[in-house]
Amino acid sequence: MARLGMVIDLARCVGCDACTIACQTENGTPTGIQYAPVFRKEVGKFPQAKVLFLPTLCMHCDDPPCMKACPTGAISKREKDGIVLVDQDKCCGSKACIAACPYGALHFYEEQSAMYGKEMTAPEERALKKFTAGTAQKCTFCAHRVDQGLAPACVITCPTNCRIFGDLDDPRSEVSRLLRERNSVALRPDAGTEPSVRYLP
Amino acid sequence: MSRPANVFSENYSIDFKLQQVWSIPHALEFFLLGVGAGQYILSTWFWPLPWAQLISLLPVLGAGLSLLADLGRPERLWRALANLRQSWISRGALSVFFFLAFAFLALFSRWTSSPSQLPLALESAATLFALIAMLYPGLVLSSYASIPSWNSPMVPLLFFLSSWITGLAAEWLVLLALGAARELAPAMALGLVLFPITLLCLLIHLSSMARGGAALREGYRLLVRGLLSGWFVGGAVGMGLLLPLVLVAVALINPEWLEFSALLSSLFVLAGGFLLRYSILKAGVYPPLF
Repeated sequence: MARLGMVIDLARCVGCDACTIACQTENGTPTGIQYAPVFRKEVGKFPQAKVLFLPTLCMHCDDPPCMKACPTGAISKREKDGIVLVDQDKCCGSKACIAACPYGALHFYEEQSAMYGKEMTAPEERALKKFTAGTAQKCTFCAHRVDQGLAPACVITCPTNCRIFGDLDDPRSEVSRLLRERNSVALRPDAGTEPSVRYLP
Repeated sequence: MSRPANVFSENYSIDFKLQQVWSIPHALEFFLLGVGAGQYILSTWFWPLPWAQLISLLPVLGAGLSLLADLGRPERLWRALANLRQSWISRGALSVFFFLAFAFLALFSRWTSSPSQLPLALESAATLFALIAMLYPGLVLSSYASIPSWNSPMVPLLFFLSSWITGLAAEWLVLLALGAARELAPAMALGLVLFPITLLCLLIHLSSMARGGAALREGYRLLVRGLLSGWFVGGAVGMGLLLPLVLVAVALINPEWLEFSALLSSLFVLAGGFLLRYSILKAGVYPPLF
């Protein structure tokens, strides 16, 4: 039994969006759906202005509000590693999970037309085949990679190594060490979701 | 090209986000459910008239159609009963199903002159599930910690009260339509009790929003001074509660205005009840992530 999680070192993030693109490439997400967007916030005033970057993804919460809200039981948390997944064969597209998630991590996928011209290209067709129209979609922590012993695409792509992935329950893991040695914060702690993604400010 | 799939990643800014997932179809579903369930109880226990119960079930069926139209995979609606342990939508779907089932069985047993206790027992069961159906939309919203203005015990109470007053307004229309105008005076007098209670609860909810955190204050601003103020202050409060309160009070003093006032007030109350739900849904604000 593991509890997979991620620590994101905000001081290292340069806002290059490589994680966002790597995720889209790995998962072939439809247009408009990004599992790992990087948010920006301008703080201060010229000449002391700067931009803060906030890389995000599904927080794979210990107490997922999406799972509680889902009327069909389509959302579950894997026992072996705590990854939260949507079963597209059970989802009825009520969007209850989308409203319930405080992080905006869930997306509604409607039937998509071709991006270029009238007909889909072969890669588009291949990528979209795995998405069921009318259902909710979310980051899977790259469960297909994790099952092969690999880290998620956003983690291996980050040029500054600001995303660190590992088992939060293993005291010897890098994520546990960082959480022990440095102050970390969770997003929207008021929502009481116990996220598995923590941030080092 | 599909519409933006997620309100959070529309502009990539860490700021307040207005929820855009639930809008007119959900407001309509919650409204019709409240109208139908409220009117069913009133027409069953207070003003029993032939056809009144059947008429009250039509909005509930309409609510179901509105929900179906908004589902991404409507053919999987049956699965919505799968998470009764955690999801208020599941519990609500079950309560609506049982409400309709018991109500139609009660109607059938009355029409077929079944033994006198059977329709009564079925109507009691239908009433119990109608009460849950009136409560559940508010409980769905209040269970979402993600949106502070929904995550309040006042929201279920407001939706519940609004179900009573919209059900009552529908009952006024039914009494008029079925030629039972002599029953209007007591039915309208009930409005004189329910309108001020609803107004008071609304004021308590608004004042807690105005004194709450940043997202609550933003929701309050939207409702009272912002984009939604026309719908909320003018529609839900002014047209839906204050104006009918005055019209009903005047009609009870001058009984010759009773029928005209009942007709006008019921239309105002029904429109206001829809706008109340719509504006509360649209004023759902996610606080900034960081």
